[in-house]
Amino acid sequence: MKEGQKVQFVRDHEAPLKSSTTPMVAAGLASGFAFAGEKPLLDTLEEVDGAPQRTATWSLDGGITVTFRPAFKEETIEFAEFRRRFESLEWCGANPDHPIAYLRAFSDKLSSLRNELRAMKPLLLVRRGRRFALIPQDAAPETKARILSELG
Amino acid sequence: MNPQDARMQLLEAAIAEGPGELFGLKLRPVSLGTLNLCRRLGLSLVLHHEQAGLISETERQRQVMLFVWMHSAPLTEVLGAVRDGSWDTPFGAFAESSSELIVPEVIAEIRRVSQLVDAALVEVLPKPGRSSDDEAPGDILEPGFTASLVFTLARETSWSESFLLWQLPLARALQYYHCALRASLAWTVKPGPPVQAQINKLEQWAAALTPDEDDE
Repeated sequence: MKEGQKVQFVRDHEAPLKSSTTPMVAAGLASGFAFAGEKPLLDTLEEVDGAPQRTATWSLDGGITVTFRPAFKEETIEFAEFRRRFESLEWCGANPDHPIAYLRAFSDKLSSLRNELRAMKPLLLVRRGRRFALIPQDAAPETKARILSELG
Repeated sequence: MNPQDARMQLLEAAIAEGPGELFGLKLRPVSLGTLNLCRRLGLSLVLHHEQAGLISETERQRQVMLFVWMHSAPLTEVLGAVRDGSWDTPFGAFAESSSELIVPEVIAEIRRVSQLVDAALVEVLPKPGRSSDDEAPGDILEPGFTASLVFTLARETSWSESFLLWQLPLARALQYYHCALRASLAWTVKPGPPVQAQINKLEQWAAALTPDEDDE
């Protein structure tokens, strides 16, 4: 993130791989929006009222605008043609405003996001008073001990 | 007895806290200063007393000895040794001469004091709505726990730093700190579970999440 950057946060309490927020974020990326930084997702697990609570917070660049242009002609096509266009990156690149190009971009973004999410584990969020700490699940015992001591 | 009455009884009991005696050794009270030493020397038996059962017998014995040494040896000797890292020498000599210390009795004393301390602990609940904290920069630094308590109590009472650190029993210091928080209209509530207990529970929940189960 950069100083003065406008950030749009999108938060929900579901695992990102299950959440309907993830496809929405993928659709936004496919449309031309962008993340606010290199670590756009904060995925945490904490105890709330004795039960686990998952919180996923996406950070998107709120300063970007996107223009949708209806720059395609009405047409009727068969599935084979739809498939040819959908599978052709070249065709999609040459027709960036066509709905099929959007669908292909959405599909690619969603697949790529889901692959990254599968490799991620939620951070453990612990609180003490007004302080809190985020602990990676695979943190070394000495790292956890240091975090514990910093929490007081 | 309801939990509120039990808490009140412990708070009132803490008012009588002071120096003690174990096996003929005069002990200074467990105070803000000795809690700080317990942290520096990693006395998990005191800091996380609820997990005492997880500590090995040898380590338990070592920590019991350390606890008694830091509360009974001359304060200047303890502070000097902890400050320059040479504490294992005087502590070793103490442990040699006090090997007959009865561990269960010391652990019972730690548990007794911990109960009084736990009853006095509170957390400040942030008030809803905008506060000056909302506009504070993210990299603002907070003072240390011990300094924060000593500063607040000294400001409110004019008691000396030395008294607050080494003579005022921790269970009373925390109650007076609570009074200062309430006098400043802070919302104080029962603290959440110990951090280590939170981590243990979260790790169990996290272990039950696998990418496949997580997936739709």
